[in-house]
Amino acid sequence: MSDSQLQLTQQGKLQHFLTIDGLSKQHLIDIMDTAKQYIQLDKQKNKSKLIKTNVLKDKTVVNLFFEPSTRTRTTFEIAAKHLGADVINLNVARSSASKGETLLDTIHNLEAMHADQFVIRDSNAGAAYFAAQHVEDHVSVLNAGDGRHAHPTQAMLDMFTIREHKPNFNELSVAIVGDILHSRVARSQIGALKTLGVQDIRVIGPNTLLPTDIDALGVTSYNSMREGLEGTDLVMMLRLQRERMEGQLFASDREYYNAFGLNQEKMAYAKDDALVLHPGPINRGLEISSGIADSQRSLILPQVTNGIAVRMAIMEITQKHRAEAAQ
Amino acid sequence: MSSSKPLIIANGTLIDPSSNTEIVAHIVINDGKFDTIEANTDELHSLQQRFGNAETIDASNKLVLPGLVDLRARFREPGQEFKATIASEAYAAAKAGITSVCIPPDTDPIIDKPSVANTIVEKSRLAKAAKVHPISALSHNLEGKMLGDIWTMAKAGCVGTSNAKSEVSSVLMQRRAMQYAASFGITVHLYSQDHELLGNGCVHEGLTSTRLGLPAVPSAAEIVGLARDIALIETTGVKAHIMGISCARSVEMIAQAQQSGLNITADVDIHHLLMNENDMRDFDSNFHIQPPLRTKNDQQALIDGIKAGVIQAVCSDHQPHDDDAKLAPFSETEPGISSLEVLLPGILKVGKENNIALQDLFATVTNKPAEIAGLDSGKINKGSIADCIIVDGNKSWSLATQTLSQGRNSPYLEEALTGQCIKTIINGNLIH
Repeated sequence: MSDSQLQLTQQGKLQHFLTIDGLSKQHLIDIMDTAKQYIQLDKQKNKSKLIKTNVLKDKTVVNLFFEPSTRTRTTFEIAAKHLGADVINLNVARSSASKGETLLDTIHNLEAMHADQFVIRDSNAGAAYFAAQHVEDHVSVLNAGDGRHAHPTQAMLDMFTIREHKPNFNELSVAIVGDILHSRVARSQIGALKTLGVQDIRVIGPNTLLPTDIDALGVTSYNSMREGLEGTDLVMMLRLQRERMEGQLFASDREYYNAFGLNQEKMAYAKDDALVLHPGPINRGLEISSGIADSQRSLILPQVTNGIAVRMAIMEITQKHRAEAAQ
Repeated sequence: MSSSKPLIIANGTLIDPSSNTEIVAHIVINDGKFDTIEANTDELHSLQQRFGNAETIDASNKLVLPGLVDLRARFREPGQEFKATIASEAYAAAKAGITSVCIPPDTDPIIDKPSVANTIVEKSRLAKAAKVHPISALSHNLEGKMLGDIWTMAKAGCVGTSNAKSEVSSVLMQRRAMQYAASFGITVHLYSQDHELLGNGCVHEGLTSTRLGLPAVPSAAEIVGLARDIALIETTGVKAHIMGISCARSVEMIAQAQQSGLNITADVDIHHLLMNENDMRDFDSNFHIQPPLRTKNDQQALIDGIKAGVIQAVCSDHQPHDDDAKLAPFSETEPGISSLEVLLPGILKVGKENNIALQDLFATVTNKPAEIAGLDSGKINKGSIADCIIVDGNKSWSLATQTLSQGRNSPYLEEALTGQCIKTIINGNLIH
């Protein structure tokens, strides 16, 4: 069974959220439409505002983070609280070398404390999938990042943000730039963009940061920003995942920035109205210049707000379908 | 050890790759040896008269083969008896048609003293099942830094020497080990990999690793390791056997080395002939093996390597595990498949799907591996030790209900297998 089958009920409804792979366009649209309902524009302040509900009242959401995270964990926490759930945050140091409690034991222990939903981040690809295989029938699992495999909620908030500005996915040219090799975000973004109909997806980086056979995912790879950004509508920057790098994969920070860092000059290769996304946290002067990050063309801050709404939507949808299926 | 009474295997289709024989015949086993091979099937009655107290087994429409010889299977004893024992696995092997098994030295304690080797052999003798042949540790603690007592161990009955899957610390040390082994004519079993390139990879570097984001093993790990080893084999003249190759390029390199006259043989594990990376179920730890399942192209090249005789042997690479070993996220699980029972149906499937002549096919699991390990088995000739099996080539069965090995870690559990060993005779004794 692939993880895409595991995350759907027999009726094809989303009950866990593990990966974008295997989901239909409609699944993604449902998530975005649901998320949209949670955002209200405050016209006086010209700022978006999140709506609170009680759909997860009396439910317990456990944020189980085996890798350090501030931003993602916080947005999941806020999302759960906005839905009326009780939230428990657990940051656990776990490594295969430490031979401590296994992932399975941790999950079973927390289940015994009546958890209803797990939000899991782990350094191992497939960790959320593994958890979803072993949780009780009423418990849903959300993948908040597993190794280099997937970070589907990040991809969905990116899609949501893109849709707010450029809703015709079929017509878009999108470039994903940087450390594709270690990026679970890139893999999920590629999956989501393809599912929503984007025809032209490009990845840009030195070969040491591009996975082997990346073209088989339906993207075109480039080693040059000039060629890769030519005529694109969107530039999705990635963080250099130094914590995952083994040995040296590029020469120096200076060289990286000169070759692949996004600045005004390189942005000029893209279309005039091209927009920039970055999953954060950003490394100014390494991946992106402040001039770009803080410009009107940057969607980096709206991404954060949208992230909460999208996670609210995913929590609500999976919990509802999981409960239905368990009955 | 001899059989109390003679056995007559009647009317079976005898296939003996060592003598290029394929005939319907009666085979008489007496005193632990093949006594008579009678191609005139009208002679059954007179044979029964001649061997008055003989038990006759009807093998009509069945294949009679030499007992299979498996160059690599882990029985986990000593050291990991919670996974499996010599008794459990030697019996499972015999039942699966494997009558001789070579054991890599990475037990605990490792096989570096005659006492360890003797204990393993003695335990298998008591199990009255498959015969077990230890391979000695090439280096102290398999650390790859100081030579093990490989001459002493060869004298104690070890059928080769190996550093198993552990790294030899340097090219200098690798060269010395080969020089030393060559002095005594001992075969070195090599896991030809560049360990730096292997890293912590657990799937093939390519589509699977890219899609699933799992740490990857590039083909280059094997190609670079093999290139280094071939250069050293050439300059030391050692008898070398390459274990478990997985890449198309490896087949070409070994073929070339053989053509230039090097003393080099190779084996492949059955999994790499039966599957490629596309057959993996996402994150299913039962597919976690080392080297990893590679591309369809690699799989085909390995099968072609069998056909061309570049790869002499197919082994089970049996690695039974306890449940906990596989109950974790993929990359944290232990590699290996419990596969004694897959070797025979697996090889039959590979042969059928690729039109490999039965003689050539069975040679890879009988006389050829026996030659590599220097064993007097894997053949059915008058006078040789009577290890043979009777196989129903058409029988459908499944591992789900019939696994005998203690290891349940198998991606084949739900699969319908065709071909089963129905009788096993070891040293003239009917085991089952």
